[in-house]
Amino acid sequence: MNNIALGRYIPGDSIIHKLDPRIKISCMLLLLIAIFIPTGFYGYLLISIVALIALSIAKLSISFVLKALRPMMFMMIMLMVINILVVKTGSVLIEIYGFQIYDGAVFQTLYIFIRLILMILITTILTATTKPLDLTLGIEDLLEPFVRFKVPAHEIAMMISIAIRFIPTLIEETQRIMKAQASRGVDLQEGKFKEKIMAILSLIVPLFVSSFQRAEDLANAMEARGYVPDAKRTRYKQLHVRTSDILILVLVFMILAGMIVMAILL
Amino acid sequence: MPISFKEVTYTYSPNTPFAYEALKGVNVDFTEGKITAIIGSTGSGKTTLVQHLNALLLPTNGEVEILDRVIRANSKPKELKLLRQKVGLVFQFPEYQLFEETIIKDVCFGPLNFGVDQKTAIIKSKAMLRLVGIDSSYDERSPLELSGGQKRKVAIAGILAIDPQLLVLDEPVAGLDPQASKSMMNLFVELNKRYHKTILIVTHNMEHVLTYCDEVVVVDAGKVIKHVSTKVFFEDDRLLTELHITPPAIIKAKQALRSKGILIDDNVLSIDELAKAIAKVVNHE
Repeated sequence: MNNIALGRYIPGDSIIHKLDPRIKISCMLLLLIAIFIPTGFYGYLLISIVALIALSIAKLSISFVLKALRPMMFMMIMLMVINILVVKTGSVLIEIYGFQIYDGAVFQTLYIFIRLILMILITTILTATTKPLDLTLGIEDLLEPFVRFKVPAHEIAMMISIAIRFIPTLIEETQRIMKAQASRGVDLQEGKFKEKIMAILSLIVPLFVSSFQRAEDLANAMEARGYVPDAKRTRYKQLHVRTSDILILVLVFMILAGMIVMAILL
Repeated sequence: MPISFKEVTYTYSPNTPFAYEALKGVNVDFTEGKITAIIGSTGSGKTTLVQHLNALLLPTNGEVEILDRVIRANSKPKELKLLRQKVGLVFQFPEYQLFEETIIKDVCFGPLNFGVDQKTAIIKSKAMLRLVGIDSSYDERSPLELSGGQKRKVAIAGILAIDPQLLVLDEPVAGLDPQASKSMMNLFVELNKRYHKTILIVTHNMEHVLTYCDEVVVVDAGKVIKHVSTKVFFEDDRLLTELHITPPAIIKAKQALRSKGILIDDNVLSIDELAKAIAKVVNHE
């Protein structure tokens, strides 16, 4: 369980690491939008190249990205199978067990596959190069304009940062309870179905109990230190946008514009 | 039957940037039928060491011999359940492992997992609950309603009900009040004396080591650096200073008396006994 790659921060000091988190999140959002502009394979090729360059600048390995992809594989394969069977455009390629497979379906599935991979790749670059706390600071700032529309920007950011903070704690806790129950004869690998249900129950109940306890303790500790959600707060860490940040944002805008032009022309 | 470690190393998250070698060649041979204290500063590897005893962690290198089983590095051992029935491991803050609706069901959980029939499990569990000092009016209540100390007792009863030959306890009395810790420690002594269980206790409390334990194993920076009897351990001033251990008050008192030429018998281990011994010396003069 220590090998979860999805969403893990990898320390480094590349240009990508040093980008302002607000700019980085915006760039990611723009690139994600760009992925959905229908430009055919040329557009995807462009975004792939951009993503791979970012990947190499950030000194992340391909194997790390593949690791991050692994938990999504099942979902992706399911999606592709359904897609290939359901979509009925173009001409029939082959027929298997009464299912007709159309060439349009094959192309469309391939597009979806590439899109998903690119989306995961880009978000992985963001999360791997940004400290979780910087990420939430960035989200808070980007949500700032929406406070006018009663969007609780600070509260959302606080919730996200608390959630992120407790992921390792919960993993540790899970491992500890697993070991404790293994000492009491629980076998998560072997055993009958009923025993397995019992085994999972013996894990989930203590985990729930301690999570609620932790939540309560944390809430009390925060209140004891005078935390008021909607109070005006200053920050220890100030975010500054530099010229390099602007340049990269402009570059991403140009890619997006290029994609739109391509979609219109091609 | 031996309980021994031969050149055991253990690395957490090997082959990653987060790799950490917690055990660096542990060699130790625990004595059967005794109460052994495992001491060492935080992060020295005590918890990692004890988790090898029921194969929750498997050695990265070296081998662990536990009763009739040998666990070697790089071999995937099977039938670990058999081992885990013989080695009862009580974790730090075991109250977090309670999950059943009623206390009696929770204590029965262990024995039932190890294939004991329902009836025997209940009898066994009730006996163990009484032994740790939880009376029968609690049996049908939820373990989550109990106080911290009571939860701890129920969790320990849950391990005792499995009836292990070797009982390993990781800081069993941490956070308990003095009265509760005293009765808990006395329970372990009783299990050792009456039921001949081998007991290993990870602890930071030197008073407990002195009063209740026969032997001391010192873990430091991932290695076992000393394995001696409690008596010898507390006489080794140099080692104690090296480990930044303040000896229990009684030891200091005896040393002070000795430096004034008053010799007190080695078996004197409590304040009451010391008072009597001093009275005897004074009356003689």
